Amino acid sequence: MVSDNKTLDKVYTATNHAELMDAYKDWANDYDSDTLGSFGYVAPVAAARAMERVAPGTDVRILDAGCGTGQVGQILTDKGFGDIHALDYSEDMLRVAESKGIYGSLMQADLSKELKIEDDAYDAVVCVGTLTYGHVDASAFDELIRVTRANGHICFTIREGAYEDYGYRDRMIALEKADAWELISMEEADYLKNENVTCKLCTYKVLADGAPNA
Amino acid sequence: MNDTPEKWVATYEATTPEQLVDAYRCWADEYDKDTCQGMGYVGPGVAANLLDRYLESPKSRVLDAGCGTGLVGQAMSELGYSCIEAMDFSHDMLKVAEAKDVYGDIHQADMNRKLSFDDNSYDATICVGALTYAHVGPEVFDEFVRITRPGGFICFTVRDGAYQEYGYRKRMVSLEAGNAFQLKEMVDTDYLRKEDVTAKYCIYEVMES
Repeated sequence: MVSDNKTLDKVYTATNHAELMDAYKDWANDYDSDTLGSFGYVAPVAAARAMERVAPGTDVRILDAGCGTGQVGQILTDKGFGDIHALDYSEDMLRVAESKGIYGSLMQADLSKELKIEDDAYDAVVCVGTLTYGHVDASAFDELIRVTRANGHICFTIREGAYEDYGYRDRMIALEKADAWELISMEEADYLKNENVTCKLCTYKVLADGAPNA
Repeated sequence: MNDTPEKWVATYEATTPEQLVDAYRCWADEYDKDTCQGMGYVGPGVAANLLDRYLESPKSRVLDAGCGTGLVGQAMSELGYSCIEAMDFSHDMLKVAEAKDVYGDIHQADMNRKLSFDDNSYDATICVGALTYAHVGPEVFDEFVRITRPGGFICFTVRDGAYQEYGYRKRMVSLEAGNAFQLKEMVDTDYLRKEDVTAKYCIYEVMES
């Protein structure tokens, strides 16, 4: 049992990928019980609900970017979605996600780099709990837009604080100004309910004529 | 079939300010009944509740821009706010708004022009149902930012369609990119409940210039 704030500190203060992966390796097996139980990690539920609101049907092909142990995938599966694909940087987290038996495929990849995924490969992307301190650069948005087809949707959470401090806000606005995507909704939602931490829950529609690098 | 849709259509098919004023003159007395009961118009209450979550004091100075018959003022008043001012282009609508007895000062003004208010006059500006075809252009956001103090809030509704086609989205994004204001929330939810129509409800915080 590693359910204390030291666990979370280790994850947030990692200064390189090796440290971050170490933190998740130690945590992978206890992650679900720790986050859902002690921290009151409710972001996956809210994000799955947001995805359900905008998805044209449950047959959409979804990329779960930064899937971790597969919490969002599980909730989406429970809602009837059946074509969900997992991506995470941590092999240890991916192993736990795989054991849930809900993903069509699993991919180990770094969201801060170019992804080995074709343009417009997905109808939708969900990215929960990944855009936060020490994890993924704001440039990840450009790649998520690239792999999502025009008029598809991207639903994600950003932990409060990181939104402004970590360059996410600036990049989101720049991409909207360039017509790469259009904001559909932005809500304040609980993130770690028991720790009184909130997040921004955002849904964007990918536009056809956007220029992600503008 | 009642004649509500026709009166409503007239308000957004107006091509001149005079036509718009005429359309509201014909509708002023029946407006509340037609919209609230007839169409399930819930915009004023939903927007007032959203703004209320951000305001610190019931003494906050609030401008109800495009107040119409005063439905927003009424909703804010029911939430305990006592310093609400009204502004609208239509004298006929303002007369109905005044009768509700929920406003302090009442101003007749055209939101497509520079407003006569000083900079930073208000803690919040709320604008429900006015940012739509034939009513008010997107330049109004610049005026809202000017008359609302830094750290204050601008809360408004905008209908999908008009949002993209009428230049509102472009102006909002551009003002946000210029750090004039920062989006706090944007939600798409019930607007005319009986007609199955939703709208975007947005709340921005005004930044230090």
